[in-house]
Parts: sequence; C-alpha cells; structure tokens
Amino acid sequence: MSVRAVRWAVVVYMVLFLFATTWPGASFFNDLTPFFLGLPFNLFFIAMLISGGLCVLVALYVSEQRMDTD
Amino acid sequence: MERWQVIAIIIALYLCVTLAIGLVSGRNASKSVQRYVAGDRDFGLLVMYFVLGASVFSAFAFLGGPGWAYSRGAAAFYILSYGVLGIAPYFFIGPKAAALGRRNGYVTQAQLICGRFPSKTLSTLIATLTLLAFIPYVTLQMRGAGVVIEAVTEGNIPLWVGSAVAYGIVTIYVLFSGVTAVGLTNTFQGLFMLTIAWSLGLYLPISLYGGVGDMFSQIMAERPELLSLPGLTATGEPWSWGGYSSAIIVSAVGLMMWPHLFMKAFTARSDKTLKQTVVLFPTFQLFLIPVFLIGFAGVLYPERPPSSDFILPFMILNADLPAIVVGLFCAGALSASMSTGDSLMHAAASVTVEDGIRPFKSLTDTQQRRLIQVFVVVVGAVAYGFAVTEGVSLVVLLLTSYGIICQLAPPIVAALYWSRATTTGVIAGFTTGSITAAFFFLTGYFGTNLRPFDLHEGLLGLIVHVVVLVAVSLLTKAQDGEHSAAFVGPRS
Repeated sequence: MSVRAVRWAVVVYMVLFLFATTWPGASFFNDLTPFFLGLPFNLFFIAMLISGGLCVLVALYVSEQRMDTD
Repeated sequence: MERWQVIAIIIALYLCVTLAIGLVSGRNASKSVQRYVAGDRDFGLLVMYFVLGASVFSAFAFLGGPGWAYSRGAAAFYILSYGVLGIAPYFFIGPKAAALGRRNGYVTQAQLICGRFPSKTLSTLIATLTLLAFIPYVTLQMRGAGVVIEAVTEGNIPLWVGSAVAYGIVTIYVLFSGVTAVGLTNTFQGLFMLTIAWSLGLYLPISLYGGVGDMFSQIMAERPELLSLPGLTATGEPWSWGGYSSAIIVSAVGLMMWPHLFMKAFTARSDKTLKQTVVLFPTFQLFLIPVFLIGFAGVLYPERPPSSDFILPFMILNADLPAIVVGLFCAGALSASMSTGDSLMHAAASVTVEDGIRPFKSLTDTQQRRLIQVFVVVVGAVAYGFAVTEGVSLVVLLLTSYGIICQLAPPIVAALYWSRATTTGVIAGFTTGSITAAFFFLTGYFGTNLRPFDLHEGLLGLIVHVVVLVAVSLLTKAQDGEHSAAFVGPRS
C-alpha cells in the first residue's frame, strides 16, 4: 500500500471517528448492552475507536518510514 | 502519629523528589533562551511522550474527569473522544512547524504565524489572548493541587497552603531549569500517574461492587440516564447533543493549539521523534478509562463528597487503604496537576516575552531569559490569587479558554497550507472569530443563551473566523510568491 493510500485511509478513518463520536453518528452506537470487558457498549465502542486510531497512525508512521528508507 | 500526618509526609517526600529532578535537570544546561524555551531542540521520545501525555492527565482529567463521570455520567466520554481527532493533524503540522522553527529560529507558534504574516499587531493579539486563556488553566491546576492536599489531610493543610507549597516548588524548578525541568519532571510524574490511575481505577470497582461489569450493571439498574450519551449537565438535566458534539470538535481543534503543546514541536530532537509521539498519544486516552471508573465507583456509594471535584480524594479516603497507599495515590493526583501546571506557566511566560514584548523592544539573550523568569512568577502569582478565591466556575472558564485557543488553528493552517492567505485576512479572521466566541460566552454567562443548537461558542467563533479569513484574503493583495512558498512548500 502506498503512503498516499495510507494517508487517505487515515483521513477517512478520522472522518468516520468524528461521525461516530458526535451527533448523529453517536446516537447509533449509544446502547448500554452488551457489556464488553465490563464496560457498557457505548464506552467500549469509544475505546475501540481510539484503539483503531492508534492502529491507523502506526500504519501511517511505518509506511512513511519505509518510503524514507527506499 | 495521626493518619493525616503520615499522608502529609508521603506527599512531602514526593514533592522533594520532584524538586530534585527539576533542579538536577537544569544543572548542566546552557543559559540561552533557546535552551530555556525550546530545550535546545533535544527532547527524545520518552520525554516527548510524557510531556504530551501530561496534557491529557491534567488536574481537569484526574480530578474533573472522575467528577464528571460521577455527576454527569456519559458526558465525560467527550474527554476520551477528542484526543485522537486532535492529535492526528499534528502528524503533518508538527514536523512542518519544526522544520521552519529550526530554519528561522522560531520557539513559539506566534513567531511561526507572524513569520508568514508579518505583523506586530497580530503577535500582540496572539500573546494577549493566549495569556487570557492560560490564566484559568493554570488556576485550575493550582486549585486541583490544593483540593487534594486539603481533602487528604482532613483540612489540616488548607487549600491555600497546599497550592502555595506545590506551586512554589513548580515555580522554583521552572525558574531554574526552564523547559528541561518540565520534560524530566513530567516523565517522572507521568509514570507515577499511570500506576495510580490503573491500580485505583480497578481496585475501587472490584472492592466496592465485585468487578467493573458488576458496577456498571448496578448503575444501569438504578441510574441508567447516567450511562447513556450525551449524559447530564452540571445541574442534572440531560445534556444536548449540540453541546456534547461541539465540545468534542472545539477540544479537538484546540488540543494542539495550546502553546505549551504546539511549542513542543520546537523542542523535539527530530521529525521521527515528533511523529512517534503523535502515534503513541492515543494510548493516553485509553489510560483515562480507569480514571473515569474511579468516578463511576462513587455513583452508588452511600456517602457524598462535598462537591463532585472531590470525588477522587473522597473515594481514596473511604476505601480503607493504609495511610502510605493513600499518600501515594494523592501524590499521583498532584502529579497530574503539577505536570500540566509547570508546562503552562513556562509557556505563558515565554509567549508573553517572545510575542508580546520582543517584537517592540530588542533584548539580549540574558535579558530575555530573565524577563521570562519574571513572568513565570507573575503568571504563577495571578493564578494563585484566583485559585484561592471562590468565584466563577473554573471549568466554565476552562471551556471558554478552549474557545479562545482554537482560534489559533485557522492562522496555523493558513500559514502552512494556503499560499493565498494574507496578513489582513488572518488578522480580520482572528479578531472576528475571537469576538464572536467572546460574545456568545458573555451573553450566555449573563443569562441569555443565544447559541444555536447549544453549540460551543468556540465553534461559532471558528465558523466566522474561517469565512472572514478566506473572504478578506481573497479581497486583498496576495503575498509575494517566494515568501509564501517558503512556508507552504512540500518540505518547507
């Protein structure tokens, strides 16, 4: 995957993140059950979004480092 | 020896270690302004990680976060949500600003903005508004330190003494060692805070309810409105989606615009370090979850703290823990306050001198450093005055600060990415945006809420800001192409 494609993937992810954490997107993920790891679903969902953000930023960093090496 | 005395001794030991680290870090430092303000651009990954992490684990997050979870429930989730959105653009903006800083000697973001848009008026405007935004933020940290010490010593050390001692120490090491002390003490305090947050955040739900899931099951059965987004307002009414969503957007836009964070682009050793810091930043958001669990643990607790901000020390004191452990937990809470406060005081003083005074008066390196040190004391004294005085809600002031600070985002983006932007456009946008934000804040504060859909005044200011910046820039003469290309170019 090219750096350009990864950058776009990060942008798309961040737009989805914004949609899912604010109105109206957040209202679709506002259930309290089922619980995951003891957390209500809405809180667990935000934690998963943050973890996903971490993953796409790692992917962006790695792809940029590879490009610099090449 | 009484319990509170043991706790006070642990806190005193913690403060001594912090002071020692702060003073030792500056022992071999050069005396230049570059060193004092930007650490000779030599911060490594570990230090950068904790310096940025301290921004998340401020007194607001460590005391206010559990307080919000306790009294406003899911409304507190907005604090979790904005970090990733706020940090991601810095992956691109940070290295670009750092490169310009290395080339042109910038140590503050106003210098970067005014490098592209030369104007003493703009520099003064930014310095003034930054200082206005900083004071309530520093005040909140100081008050947080005083609240913790007063609560855990059962009122034997009053708030005004606790704040004075904790921030007296901060002032000493910032005066002596500048940003280097901020970096090293934040690393120590960060490790401390994380240990405390996780151990207490898991211990309380397990000891009081049998587990995290059991705790939430019971809250869901008795107070379901607390767990559903967008949570509650401070008065217990349901919060609006407009208020919740715009709080996330304004905080995300404002996050890296805080000068004490943005300026760290000028302290990083390399672009690689800066990018690694950005990549790892979301981990701090995840570390906040156990902090919220502390607040949720208090929801069904039979006794009530004097105010929601006291929930963390209140739960610590009621958890039947040995005095030494309580002392260590309180030192963790103090870490949260001090690691943010030191950075704020240092940045507020640096911005005042670099952007508010130096454009009008030439100063030698020594004079500049001395003047910054004087302002560290002045900022500390003013904030202390507010911290020990009951008055306007600090959280309200802090949210307003974000409204002001996020107005720095359009000029930064325009400086680095839009060649057609002009100095007049930036000044017009910045002024109208700030006035709009102030107007909606003040009208709301005096009882007439004119904000459409309950949107945050900072977002309303941003909308006006961007429209005016673009319109006025297009109506005025474009900058010299070579000048703007030096900032906007792909590897400027």
